Amino acid sequence: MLIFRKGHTHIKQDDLSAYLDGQVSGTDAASIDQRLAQCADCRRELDALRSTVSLLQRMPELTLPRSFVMPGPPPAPIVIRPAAPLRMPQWVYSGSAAVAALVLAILISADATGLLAPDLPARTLESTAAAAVAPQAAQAPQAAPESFQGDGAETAVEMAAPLAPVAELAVTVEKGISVTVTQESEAELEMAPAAAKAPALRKAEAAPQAAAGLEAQSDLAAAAPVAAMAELQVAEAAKADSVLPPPIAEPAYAEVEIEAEVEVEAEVASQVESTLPPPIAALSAAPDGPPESAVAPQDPISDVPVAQGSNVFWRILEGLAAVVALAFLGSWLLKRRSTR
Amino acid sequence: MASTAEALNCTTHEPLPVLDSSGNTHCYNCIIESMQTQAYNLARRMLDDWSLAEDAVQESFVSGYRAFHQFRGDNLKAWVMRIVANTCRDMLRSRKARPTVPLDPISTDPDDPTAPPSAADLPSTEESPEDHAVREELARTIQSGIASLPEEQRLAVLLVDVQGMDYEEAASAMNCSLGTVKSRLSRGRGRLRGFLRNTGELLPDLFRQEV
Repeated sequence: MLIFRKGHTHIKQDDLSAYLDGQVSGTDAASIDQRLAQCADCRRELDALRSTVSLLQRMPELTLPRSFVMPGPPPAPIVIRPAAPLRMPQWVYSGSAAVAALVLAILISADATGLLAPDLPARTLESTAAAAVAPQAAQAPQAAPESFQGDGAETAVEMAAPLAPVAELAVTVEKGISVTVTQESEAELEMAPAAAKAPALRKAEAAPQAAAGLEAQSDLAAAAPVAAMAELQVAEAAKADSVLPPPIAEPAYAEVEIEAEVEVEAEVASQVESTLPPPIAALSAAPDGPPESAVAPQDPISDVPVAQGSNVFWRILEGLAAVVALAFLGSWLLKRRSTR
Repeated sequence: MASTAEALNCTTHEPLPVLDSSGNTHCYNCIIESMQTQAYNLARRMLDDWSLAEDAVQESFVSGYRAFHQFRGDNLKAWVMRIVANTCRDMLRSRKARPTVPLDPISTDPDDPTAPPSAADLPSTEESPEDHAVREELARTIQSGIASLPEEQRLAVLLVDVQGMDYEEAASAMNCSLGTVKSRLSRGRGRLRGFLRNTGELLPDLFRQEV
């Protein structure tokens, strides 16, 4: 068997398949016949192939679901052109993003420098951003007067209490100064936003009242300079207040303003002292009087840069966040455009 | 193939004259009538999906109408089958790109209007219900065997063994050489034989006798 099989290679499947279909040329067909006669495996292979083919040939023909005859010539092919999705040159998108960023930056800086003064009714038309900022700005002056009143008027009253001796002079001095103070505060108020007016006015009113109260209580001349100082404090508080409401002021600017006011105050104080008679001037120079009153006015002011500083910090952060968001949006839009 | 006169004399359908590449007029609806069954059978067995097959035939005849000026007038069957085969290839490709839930193989789809009647509603003929069921099952098995073949081998087997084309026609329809048809056909047949042998309980007679 082994010897008989030696040298026999099975007929290639390709040849068998072609042989089955009669697609083999005469000489090849003869050699295949010969080899088939020798090899039972090849015969089996051929038979299996043949039965497969016969199974395939006997596959039932499927019936048509419908006739495909056309009622008329088919319509011309519709070239589906994807609708150009609002194609615009690249610079339009980058340009609009840049303009938007610029506008935002201008708005923020204008807002920060108080140009947009969000609480002033006449100016509230500026933007919704200013409107959004308004509540925050409104909170500042509300919070401020309490501390200032506490620091200013009350401490002034406390300081005034021990100083009893002099009376008459105080009235004139106090009145004079209170007039100038209110004038000053009014001048300030003209520039101050509307919201700031109320607390400022309240203090301007509170000042004479406090002074009157002191007069009634003690009726002493020595109370006068202190009351005047109290008024100055309150006026300062009002000024500081009126400076505060546009809360986005840059710290340096605010400090300069405050320093300037401290100087003004010092001048007024020196004027008061110079108009006072010597004993009172001496009194005011006494350790328990003026030093405290000199320190006292700084209390409300010393709070201001801190409050404004944190406010500005938040504003800057807010602006930065807005710019970053805008840049992100712009780049995303550009990316989406380019990938389309 | 219909001449001009025949095209004008069409009675069963609207005459639809078309010109081939040499300027001869044919009635395209006559061509459709003569080819649609073969076209549908090829598409159906290629795609293994009756509704897709219908779309494929429709699409093929429409594109054939538009491309008829390229027809040289030699072998209409090969020309039409080539269009159908190309349409089927495209559909298979797009189905591969967007795979859907595979549909049931032939004649198990309850919605299929062309499914052969089941043994239950078969009127009494000379064939017993059992025989009919076996035959149905056999056809289903063969179809799933065909569906398991690679695309080109399937096409070769369908064109030559099921449609009864000779190698030249198949080569023309498949747009390949004679040798390619030969090898694809042989490999397809061999693979199918293996499939049927493995599934084989149902194909007893032919395979048990001869294997």
